[in-house]
Amino acid sequence: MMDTTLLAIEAELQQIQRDIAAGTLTKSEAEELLRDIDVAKFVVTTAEGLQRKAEVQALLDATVTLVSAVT
Amino acid sequence: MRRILLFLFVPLLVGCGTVQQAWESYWLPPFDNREYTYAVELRTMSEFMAAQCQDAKISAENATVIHRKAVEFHNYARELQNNRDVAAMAASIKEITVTLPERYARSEPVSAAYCRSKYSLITLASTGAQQAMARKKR
Repeated sequence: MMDTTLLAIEAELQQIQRDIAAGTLTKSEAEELLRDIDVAKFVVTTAEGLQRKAEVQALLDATVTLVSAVT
Repeated sequence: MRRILLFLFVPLLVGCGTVQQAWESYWLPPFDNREYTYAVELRTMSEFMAAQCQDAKISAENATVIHRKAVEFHNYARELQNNRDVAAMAASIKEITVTLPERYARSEPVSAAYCRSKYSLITLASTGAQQAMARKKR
């Protein structure tokens, strides 16, 4: 799911580059949006890390349940 | 019994990459409905607001509304224990929204292309945050 979001951010970057070329964005607007692209990518990377932690937590819970059942 | 525990935990820790990751995973706070709602609201609001970018007056009002919502999300997430990831995502979304009201407060006109891209990035960042929070234990 995160891959799809990252692809969508890349598509937005291409749209911004098209808008720069077409002159529909001012220089300062374009600079700000390019910084925002990096911030949005950081959010998705952090989200991926959080998702992985949730998966590990589920695995830990399952292990604890298994150990409790064995003992 | 020790052998069973070792058999179960050692591969698990190796699979985690680091003991720290396993530790952070263990203490990960459970699903928080309010936090999740903030992400959904930001995503939905930005989707609707992107469609109003041609109207500068409405967009100026929208800019303040969405920034306020992002600040609320960050203020809520930042004080919760062991909530570093969600707080970081909320801070980043706030960082994207903070320049919107500032730009509309200036005398220069704001382009519709800028407005659309800005809301599109808020939508995508909120979607990422929402998807990750949806995986948390209930």
